[in-house]
Amino acid sequence: MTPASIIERLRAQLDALLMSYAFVERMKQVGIEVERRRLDEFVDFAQQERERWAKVIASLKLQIE
Amino acid sequence: MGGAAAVANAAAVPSRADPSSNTWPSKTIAILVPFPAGGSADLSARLLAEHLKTVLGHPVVVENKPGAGSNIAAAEAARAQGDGHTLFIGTNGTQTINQSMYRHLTYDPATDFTAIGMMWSAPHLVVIHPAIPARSLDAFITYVRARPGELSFGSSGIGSSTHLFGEMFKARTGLDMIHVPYRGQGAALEDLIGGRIAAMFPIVPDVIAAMRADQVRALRLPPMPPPGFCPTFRSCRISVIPISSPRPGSRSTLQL
Repeated sequence: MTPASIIERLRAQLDALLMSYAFVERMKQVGIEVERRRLDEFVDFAQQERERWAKVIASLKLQIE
Repeated sequence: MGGAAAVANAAAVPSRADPSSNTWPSKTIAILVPFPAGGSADLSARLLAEHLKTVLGHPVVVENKPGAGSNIAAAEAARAQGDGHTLFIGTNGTQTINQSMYRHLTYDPATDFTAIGMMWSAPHLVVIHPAIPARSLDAFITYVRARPGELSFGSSGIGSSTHLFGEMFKARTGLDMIHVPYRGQGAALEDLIGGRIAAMFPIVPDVIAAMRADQVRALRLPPMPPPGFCPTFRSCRISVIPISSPRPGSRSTLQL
């Protein structure tokens, strides 16, 4: 596993970037909304999305090799 | 192209060394991007690289490794040392869709990465060729319904979110449209502008220039509930709002 102390430093810098006016404005120019989430919320969200997509893909019978 | 990008760094190789961030970074940091240079994931990677370079005083490079539904870059990131020198711009493809879409995935999106954080999301839209006389999604649905099997939609590839949104749209509306997979978003957009396909289901940043130049007409796609919840937009009482430019605050991307 990546050491937690390094993740913490990366996370702090990602947060700083996401909160910077220049970044938000640059992304807005191309139609992107910056979206910050708490780390635990983000991890839960990704898991929910995996479960949701699994249902969608199964129902559409789209699985590929 | 996915609607949400996350930065995750590989943690496939457990490190038993005493984790100390005092010695990090000790070499060039690479940010892997599963798309070619120039797209929205690439842009966010480059801005992140610039920022990290400035604050860390250390080289940070962006490596574009497109291919295999973004699985090439994801697999490489998953195999990298978990030492904070390999970061990955994950997408809703690599982190959520592909696990169900591909029978043989060589990485596990839940366990092979350590999440650093979410970066952004962007709504999926329907964009249509401007010669089609439909100013709203309802009008477009009526137009397609009158031409079963005659119209096609393009995607950035089989199994991409642009493909899935098209298939979900068909399933919800009961419309008969032909799917045409392209190698990437750019080629599909070129054919949409040229009128060789009727529609696409991209995220805003991938078509915003064509929208602004009136080369395509954008129709807002309502949030799509899970399958089985309701068979049609109408039965779900979802209102359909046509738009001509992306509206901040709208987010259909992750509401599936």
